[in-house]
Amino acid sequence: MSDRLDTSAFPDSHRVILPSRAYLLSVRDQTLPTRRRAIEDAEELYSELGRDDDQNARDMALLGLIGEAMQALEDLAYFGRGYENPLQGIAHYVTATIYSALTPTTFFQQLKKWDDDRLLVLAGLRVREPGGDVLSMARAFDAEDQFTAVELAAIEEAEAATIKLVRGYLIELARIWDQFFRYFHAYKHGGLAVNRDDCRLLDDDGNPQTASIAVWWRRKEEPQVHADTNLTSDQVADAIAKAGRLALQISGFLVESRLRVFQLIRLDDAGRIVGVEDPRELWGFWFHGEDLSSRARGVLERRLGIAFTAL
Amino acid sequence: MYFELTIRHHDHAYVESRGGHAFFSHLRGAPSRCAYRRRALEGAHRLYHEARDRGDEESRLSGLGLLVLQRALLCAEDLGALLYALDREDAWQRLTGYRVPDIEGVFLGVHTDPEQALAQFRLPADQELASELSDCPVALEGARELCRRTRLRWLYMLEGVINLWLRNRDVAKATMHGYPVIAGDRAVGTPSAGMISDALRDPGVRPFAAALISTVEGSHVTTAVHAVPLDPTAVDSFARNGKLAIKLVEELCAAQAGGIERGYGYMLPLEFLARLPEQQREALEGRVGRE
Repeated sequence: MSDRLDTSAFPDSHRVILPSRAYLLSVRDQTLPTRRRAIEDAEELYSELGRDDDQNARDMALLGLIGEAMQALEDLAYFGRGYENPLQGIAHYVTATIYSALTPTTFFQQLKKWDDDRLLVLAGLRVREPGGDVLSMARAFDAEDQFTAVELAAIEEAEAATIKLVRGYLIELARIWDQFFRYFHAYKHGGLAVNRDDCRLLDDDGNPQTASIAVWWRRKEEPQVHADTNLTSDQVADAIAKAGRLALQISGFLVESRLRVFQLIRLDDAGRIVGVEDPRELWGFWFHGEDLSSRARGVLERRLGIAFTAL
Repeated sequence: MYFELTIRHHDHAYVESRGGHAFFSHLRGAPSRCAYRRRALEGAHRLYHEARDRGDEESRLSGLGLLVLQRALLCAEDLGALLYALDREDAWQRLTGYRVPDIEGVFLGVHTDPEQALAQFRLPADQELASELSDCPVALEGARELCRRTRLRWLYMLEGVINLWLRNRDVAKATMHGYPVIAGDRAVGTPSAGMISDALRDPGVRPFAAALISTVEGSHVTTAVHAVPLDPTAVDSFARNGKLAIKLVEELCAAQAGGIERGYGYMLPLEFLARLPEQQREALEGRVGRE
């Protein structure tokens, strides 16, 4: 335990720390396992109905899988907005609980343009102050002098490696969101799969084409179809299930980053802050092995006690 | 690339007058859609009970209870969307353009004027029965009884779906938009969830969850904490009412699509035929057989 951290500047426990902690633990222990199980269940149902002759039921099962997976992407967008760009003056988790139909699309469209600082804040590796300044965790916790220059450099290198990986994953999820959100909405709002008994897709010369999935567009004056002809149904199922799991994995990383901060704060049963643990346990990184030098890795392992796991 | 919609019908103007060809196709697709919704709902319900039998942690169990709720609400939304669509001539625009408050309006409307909703199921009115069966009073009585029983059954089913929707729509919607839901064991554990625990009314059953529904007005954010019971009684009720919604969608679509197909304005439901007195049943069977 560290005696050096000053807890007087910490946010109010009752209004901020305890609700935030409960929210994050609920995401970890309730939301993510449920979403994971729902995707698995939707995959099983898709496989099961895929053996039937009823192509329309199979289409609905594929839409169901898209629906379950896309919800994981939507969760990530809400979490990302709440923790990267929260409303001022309230606990971050509260922003994640505010509904806006624009949140997921805005999040995924804009993150392509995000600079490193924004990604570091999202990843829970930096803190943005109310004035907009972005601080390292060591500085935010007023603990910079507990680390050597070599340790701080290794932390920075691992941070850079982490956001390189996270950026790539998020951009992939942004592409998936853009590709599938219309199917997702058609699934949720009325189950608007096109009835294959009555409809068929034709190219400009009138030759029949095979769509992996086809839905009616919402909010069009005349009936219009949105369809995919690039992939087979099984390829769509595979791609969307992987994307859903990736979104859950990223959300899990973001949640653990925040929980690490809360786990640093020792609370009594009434929820009062009674101390803080060693700030060396503040960091968690996630990167491709080749993106972190062996020197930096050695420093983090030996001096900060960080253990690395190959995933 | 374009889509070709092919519907065989003797009177395409009639199909248009009943919502259009795309709408008719959607109605005809109901059996597959409902088969999927039923399997998905039953799957979630099974997962919940399996987790309970295994003795999974409360937070895992509450998550699966919410999955049942979410899938049940999708079934209720299917029904609400159809009832909303059928309420006007531009059924297709309404089916593909509704918003959640529209569904709310439809379900509240059923409370105040159930006949309006029942009309969409195409039950024949008494004068229509009389004009069709005036030559056979026994069959007419039987037909009236069929309509009466069917009407009561649909009203009972609608009541269950509306209760499901009105009580749980905000929570179910939250599970589809970011999942702002605290697990019950985190809300009442030690240490507590601070101000969330203060605002929570413990439902007294386990597991449960606390959905956080925040709204912004100007610079003020207000967060309402909704406690959601997720014990087996509650979850079984979600599943049961979700299945009622599926059944209603099936029957509503069958009545509508069957009517469009044959050019009928209404159809006599035969589900309770076997329960009619023998004389009425035979008289009606004779007529139904002939037509």
